Amino acid sequence: MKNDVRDEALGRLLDGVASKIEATPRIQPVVRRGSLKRGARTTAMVAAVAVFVGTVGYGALQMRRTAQPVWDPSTWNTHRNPDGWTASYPDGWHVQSFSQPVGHVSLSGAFFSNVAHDFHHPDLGPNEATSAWDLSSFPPDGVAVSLERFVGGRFFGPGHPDTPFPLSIEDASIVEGSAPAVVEHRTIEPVFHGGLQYTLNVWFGPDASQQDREIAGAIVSTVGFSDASPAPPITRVPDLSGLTVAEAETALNELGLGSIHVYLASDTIAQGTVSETTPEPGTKVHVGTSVELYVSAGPASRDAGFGWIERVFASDPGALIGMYRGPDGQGMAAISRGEDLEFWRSRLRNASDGRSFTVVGCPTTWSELEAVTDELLRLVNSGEPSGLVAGFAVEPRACSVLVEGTFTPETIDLLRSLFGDEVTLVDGVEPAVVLAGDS
Amino acid sequence: MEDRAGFEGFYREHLPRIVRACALVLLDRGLAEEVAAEAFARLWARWGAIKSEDHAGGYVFKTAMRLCSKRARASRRESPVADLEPDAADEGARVAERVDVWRALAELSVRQRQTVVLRDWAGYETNEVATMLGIRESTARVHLARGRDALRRSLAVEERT
Repeated sequence: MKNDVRDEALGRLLDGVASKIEATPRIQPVVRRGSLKRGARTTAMVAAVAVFVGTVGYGALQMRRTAQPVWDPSTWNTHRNPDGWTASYPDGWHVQSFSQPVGHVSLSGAFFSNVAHDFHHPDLGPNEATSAWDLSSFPPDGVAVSLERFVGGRFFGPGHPDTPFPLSIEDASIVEGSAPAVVEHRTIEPVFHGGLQYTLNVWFGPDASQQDREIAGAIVSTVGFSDASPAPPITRVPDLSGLTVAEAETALNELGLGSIHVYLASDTIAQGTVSETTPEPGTKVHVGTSVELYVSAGPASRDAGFGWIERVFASDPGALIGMYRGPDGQGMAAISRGEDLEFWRSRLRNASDGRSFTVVGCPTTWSELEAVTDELLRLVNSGEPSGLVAGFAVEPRACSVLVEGTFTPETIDLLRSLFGDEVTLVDGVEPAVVLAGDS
Repeated sequence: MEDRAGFEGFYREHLPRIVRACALVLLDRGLAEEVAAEAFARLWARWGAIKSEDHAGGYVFKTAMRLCSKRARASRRESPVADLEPDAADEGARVAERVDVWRALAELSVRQRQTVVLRDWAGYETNEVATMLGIRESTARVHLARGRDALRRSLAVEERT
């Protein structure tokens, strides 16, 4: 394609301009020394960044203090976050905070501003949290400080490698023609404390006063991370047996815990009911971790009347991936790769007692799919793809493991690269399942 | 890659190029320096996970470009031309040419500038440009074509065939 060829002439013109752009150290600014209490690792990293700032003189990573502040921080209010950090803010500033577990990730944060305005992403549902703030009507003289903390996992999402939610107004939807969303913002420093991540942002409108800017900087420097509880608070796994999945999730959310659903067939426990959990009830866990819920998928035969199929495979359970009801209501048995379909057909015929059935060969085996579910469990527990996998189970109809959740392109790529055709991804609640018998 | 000394060396070596790319996109040297500093700060936060210098280079360039997207929307600079420092050794004509290029760049949209800078100045392939900007390759091609057309018209440059 002609378009693909690099335009050397344009490149040279641009280089003529670029090569004249100075990129060498300038005057050294004052490096901010805050009063943050941090762990040793954090201090080392911040010191390293400060060295770079001091050496090359870029202003993005430091805030200057005036010699004579006109405000009195001793009269400020203190904001305390359930996760253990505190910040001071002046009277008259507006504070919004949130703390919400999502899957096995917990988000918490606070937004301090001199603007009495609710900054929330407009698309949030009642049980959702976001790190995006709708600043589309941010006033020109506004100043705001947002402090965010992410606990217990990683995110995937568009526009940023680490979040399922837009991290800034630029990644969220902006209504064209509205007042400037954010004219200027600075990430003060990324701070790591005990493996958890904090982000501090300061937002300025173009007409923000110098005093308000300095107040914002001072708020940032008053943030103290409690050393008394460097890890997230501890809670105990409740007893969820007998609850429905929705009830169990509510109970866990109230404690700041997430959940992973594992569906297992059970002849005795009602479908959709939790049978057991890992860890067991009473176990101490950190807020923000996830609890595995073992949920009954109903009887193994999935449909009353197919127990006879399962009994035929009792001697060789690995040959059978599962059973399901076919289009005419007949029993369908999904068989592992490598099995002699004719052999199983005749065994089933002998046991069928006139009932109609079909045998379908899968390109995979029961043990391979079982390995996939084991690996999925391990992955989800280890944090990726975090929070986005709602549940998974072997689906004989698809000769694969059905994985339900909310998927980003990155998650899809990850699951595909790991499992290929052995997973069928279902976004949302209503699956579109490829029937094995359709090919 | 693990050590601070390694990061410092990488930083000094790659900083000028990142600053210049950002300056061409943002048309503002001060902003470009800030964006570059922030991109390197984010790279430093991830330094432990970086596999190689290529990986680091790609990561910091991509981060810088995405930060440029954000800052460009926020920028309200009115006289970007003032950022070009006169070079005593330059003849008047060459200074004027640089001002022309700068002004011509200012007429492009941010995306057009980004794609032209990444493709024609930095030499990345179109698919790499698309990845760095987080857009589809077809979209990148559209921005590139329009940006080039606009620049060529402004600067009366003949199209390369």
